[in-house]
Amino acid sequence: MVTTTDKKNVPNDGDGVTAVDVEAALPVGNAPAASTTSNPAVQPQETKDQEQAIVYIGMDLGTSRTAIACSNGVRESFPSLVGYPKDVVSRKLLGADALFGKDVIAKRLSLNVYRPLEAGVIKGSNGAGDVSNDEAAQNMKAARELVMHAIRMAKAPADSLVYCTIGAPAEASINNRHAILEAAKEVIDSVIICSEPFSVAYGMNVLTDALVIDIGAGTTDLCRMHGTMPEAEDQVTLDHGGDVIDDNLERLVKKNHPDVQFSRQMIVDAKEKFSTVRPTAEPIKVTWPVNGKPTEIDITEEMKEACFSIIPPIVDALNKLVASFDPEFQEVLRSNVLLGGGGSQIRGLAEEITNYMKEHLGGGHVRQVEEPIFGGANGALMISKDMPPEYWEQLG
Amino acid sequence: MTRTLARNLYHMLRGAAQKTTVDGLKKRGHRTVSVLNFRDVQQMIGRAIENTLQRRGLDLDRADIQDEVRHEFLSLMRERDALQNTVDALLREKEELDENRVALASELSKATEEYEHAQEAVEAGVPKDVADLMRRISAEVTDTQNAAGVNADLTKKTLELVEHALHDHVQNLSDQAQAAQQSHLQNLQRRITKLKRKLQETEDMLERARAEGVQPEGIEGEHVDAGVKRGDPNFQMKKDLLGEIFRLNVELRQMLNKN
Repeated sequence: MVTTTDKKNVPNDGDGVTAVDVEAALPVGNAPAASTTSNPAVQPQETKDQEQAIVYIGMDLGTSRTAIACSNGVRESFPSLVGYPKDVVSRKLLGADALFGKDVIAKRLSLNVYRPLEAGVIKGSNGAGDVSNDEAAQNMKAARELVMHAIRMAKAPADSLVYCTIGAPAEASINNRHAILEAAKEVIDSVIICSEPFSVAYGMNVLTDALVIDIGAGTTDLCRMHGTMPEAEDQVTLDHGGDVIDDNLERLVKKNHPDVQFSRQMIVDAKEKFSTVRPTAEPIKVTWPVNGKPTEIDITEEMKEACFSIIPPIVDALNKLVASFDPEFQEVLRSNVLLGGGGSQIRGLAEEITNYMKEHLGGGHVRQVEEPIFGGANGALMISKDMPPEYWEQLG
Repeated sequence: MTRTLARNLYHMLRGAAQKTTVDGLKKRGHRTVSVLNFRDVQQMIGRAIENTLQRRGLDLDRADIQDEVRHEFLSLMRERDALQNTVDALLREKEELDENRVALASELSKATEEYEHAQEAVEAGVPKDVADLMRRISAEVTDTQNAAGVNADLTKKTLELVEHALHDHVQNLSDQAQAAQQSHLQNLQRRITKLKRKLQETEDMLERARAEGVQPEGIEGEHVDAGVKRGDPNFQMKKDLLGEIFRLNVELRQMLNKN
């Protein structure tokens, strides 16, 4: 019995179910202790059945990473990548029809790799001319399987209902939202689409007089919270996110170190490890090949410049949202800026945006959310749990 | 509890968990985790036994009963683990079998279709390409033999022989193809029958395992009182916002239905 309880509540990450192992202590995860140590014998069977009936999920379906937070305690995050074996030999070797997340990065040479989301939406779902119908269909398939994989990771019992809120970019079009719904409907009993920055704010219980910046890989979403549902004029989506930093870093390293050999993945790895905008950052040194020989090179300035490149457009957009707000509350809004999303993990970013705002807007204060990776998923989970049951049933 | 039993129980519970580092948890944003001490588990089991004995008013040797119950507990844990592993393996097997069955059924339907086409062609008489060939040969032979001044009866007989040989050849080819197709179909049927049997066996075993109280892996949720809590300081605001999200999602579906 105890073993089952332990399995149920342990926190998770992309590597699977985990639990703290502190000498003779057994962890039961981050759920309230009372709920895990209560005596199941006194629980009526009927109530227990009802409890098991629904698993609520909050999902941040991001360009770079997908994160889920679930009412059964599961929390997972993994790169939004889907890989299909290139041929029969790869299929046999990998033992699966599709791989996801970190496995795709590790086995990418044997796989046709898909990153089905771009700028926060499923590639090709806009009906834009630059993506062929075949490519759009393949991305849709990969997105559907990505959602299915995320739902499988929730480890919901087979007989339970799954109700899920999915965060979408603030300015996602009807077609984009339709594509997300299509991708989700096969595996989720009822699904709600919600603006991603709004879910970050909801998760932090900041519903009024605040500005939320959600920096993703494909986009940066800004959202003005003023106690009502944000409308189009309250939200801005910029095409500046982690991918732009990768582009800039790649360009700068190529320019300043023309002999160095590197791949896009090496650039991404370096950014994830060392990203910073701090003027006094420690030297950033990577060992990359030059003519095949591993060589240590200093990319401190390139990294800082690449990371800093997203600040001016963000502050511009912030200014637009502040300037178009009630003048009486502009100062409050400027001083209450929340920074979330994977991109917010750049060292010193909140301080630098604050400094840039002071310099260009005459003041402001930015603070980072507590859990940048799970901020959107946590908020979406709170929305899922707060949503009245009859709404879920109607949307199911 | 004897030391061996305590150690066994401890290792079993530890074995059911997986390790991570405290730093790893911090990185993922966990600031606090709830920890159930192993000693608490021991005490809870002990207390449960004592309370039960007291309630029943049984005048038994408490130490003996406690040891027996703990033995039983350990053996049930082992049995449960073994059963759980079996169920997981069976589920995996069932999935594979399902996939195989679908693939085979599709192969069978394709092969049946090919077979029917082949049979239709045979029933329709001499294939068109053979008839064309026959016409060309007939023209060539007639021309050649006429040029050589061969008797018309002999030409006719030669042509009959050629036609006969061609028919025999076509018939042979058709028979061979049909035999190969039949054999292929029979093989597919045999494999499907075998798979169906295996699938049925797996399902039966799963059913038995479920009857023993073991469910396929899944993490049940804690009870969630859905809806915004009455005591929430932002109760009304949240209620309105959620209502708005719901309305927008209903509109989204209506727009999609229209399209």
